[in-house]
Amino acid sequence: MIQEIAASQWQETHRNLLSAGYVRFEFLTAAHLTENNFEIYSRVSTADLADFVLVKTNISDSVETLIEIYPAAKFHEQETHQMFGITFENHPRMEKAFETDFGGNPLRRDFALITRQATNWPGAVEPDEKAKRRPSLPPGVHESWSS
Amino acid sequence: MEHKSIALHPSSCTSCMLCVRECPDWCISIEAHSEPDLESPEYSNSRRPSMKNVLDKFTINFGDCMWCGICVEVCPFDALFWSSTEIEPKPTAEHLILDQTQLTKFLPGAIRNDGTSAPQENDPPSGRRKK
Repeated sequence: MIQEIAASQWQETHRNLLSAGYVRFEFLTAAHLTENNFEIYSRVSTADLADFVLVKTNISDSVETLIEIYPAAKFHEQETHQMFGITFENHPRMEKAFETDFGGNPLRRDFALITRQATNWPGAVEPDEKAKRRPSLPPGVHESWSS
Repeated sequence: MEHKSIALHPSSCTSCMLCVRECPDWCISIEAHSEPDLESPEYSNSRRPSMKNVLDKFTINFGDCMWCGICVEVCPFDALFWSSTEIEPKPTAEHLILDQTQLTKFLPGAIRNDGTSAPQENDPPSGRRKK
């Protein structure tokens, strides 16, 4: 079952789900939609895995933490923070989930893929060199990324 | 339909670059050149001869490919097909870059989306795909 809720009901919905028997916290993740608009998802299930609920909501850049309700959310929230730069309010350890020197939030849309910058796009080839066309650019790659 | 490899019918390919540009993994590459189209009816009575692209090299890097099938869907000239022929294990990642001769070998197990079988190596180009 999928529940779409308002961001203000994020904690309340999970508290109700826990008391309704959804005791397993399975995962929490997000999707970067536009510049300052994220969709955040959590999935909880019953102890026998027979039933689950996927909760999703739209947030701008921060949301309340779930660790008072589901302690298992702690790591997932840290991971989502590292990958997307979303802040979870009142989280006791809002740091990187994975220790690394790698900076940035790699799952954000504005994060430049290093491999794409280092690789030549095969689609730039024009079989007919005399045909005058505007050079085509790789889809989904920001113009400023190519150096 | 089994999706085990992607087959190419080289004589159908017009080097239009659509598959190369649509591939999200950038795993297809085409080397081609253009030359005057001698068979074109306008060739002899026009000041600028019509040109056609000639395919020199077509490769798919199956180390990068994620089997999304966008190239098969996007090809308007019926040159790319899903095939039920499995890609054999290779010693290194470079060996997974298959060129047109190797991709043609997948044609015997290849079928179109509508279930009809794909053209074989020596068949003539089937032209623009009918929608």
